[in-house]
Amino acid sequence: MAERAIRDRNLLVVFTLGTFDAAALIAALVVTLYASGGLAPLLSSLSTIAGLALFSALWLTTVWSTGRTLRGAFTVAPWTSVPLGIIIPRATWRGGVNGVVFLACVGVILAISSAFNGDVGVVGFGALIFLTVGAAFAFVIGLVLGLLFAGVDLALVSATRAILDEKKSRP
Amino acid sequence: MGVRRNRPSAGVVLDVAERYEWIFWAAIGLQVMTGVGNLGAFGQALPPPESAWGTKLIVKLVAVLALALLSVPRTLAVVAMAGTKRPRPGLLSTYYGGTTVVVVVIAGLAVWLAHG
Repeated sequence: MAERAIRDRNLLVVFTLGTFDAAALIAALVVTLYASGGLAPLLSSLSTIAGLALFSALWLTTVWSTGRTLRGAFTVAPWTSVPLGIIIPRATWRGGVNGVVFLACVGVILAISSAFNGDVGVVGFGALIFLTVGAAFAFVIGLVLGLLFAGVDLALVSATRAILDEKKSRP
Repeated sequence: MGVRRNRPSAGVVLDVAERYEWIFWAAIGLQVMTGVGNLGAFGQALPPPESAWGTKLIVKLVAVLALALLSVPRTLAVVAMAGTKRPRPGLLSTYYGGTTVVVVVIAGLAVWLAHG
């Protein structure tokens, strides 16, 4: 019973950080693209269903990636017992893997969308791009984002710990 | 003649808080997902960022980003309190009060955006 409660709490931390990372990334991208005028052309080339599927894929892969990063890192509280020298490279690597997995999901979603439109040639060309330049590019972008969000998440964990410690030390 | 107020036990408070956190983060994900879908429905007709509507949209998106950012410590604190079985009523009130204020501001901005 207690083990299940601990597992549920660990899952909540994974779901929270994964959802936060995916939502913050998309919200920041939308603000940047909209402010620079690049959002309308991008959105008009994407159907609503494809857009929803793409965000769902990013959400799913990011929560999965966060779970892999935090595996074995939990104590009774959400504070990690793993040294920063291990957790940051692990999060960065997992970010790269997440980038490739997400790109694969993008490929599948766009391939299904293209196949429905009868563009089979586009599917083959897209697969070729994914297997060559796309996967390497997605891995590097994922590495950078993994490092960035590892920093943000660790800062938020530190802030929480400081707030709890500060409240505890008050008379 | 003193009447004791029935306070919920620590376990119940934290159990409810944990359930709320699951629902909250699922709602944040769905809000971002459907928000992008709604913007997609505008397509090329999306008003420019220099317009009054565009400014309101940017303010709303930044507010959603701030809500997500400020909510992570709240969830982590709830998990930590549940782990040690020691709730801090004052801290929980501050967190959930602050969340309510930001959510009301975002809802206000959404209504403002919907009415042009």
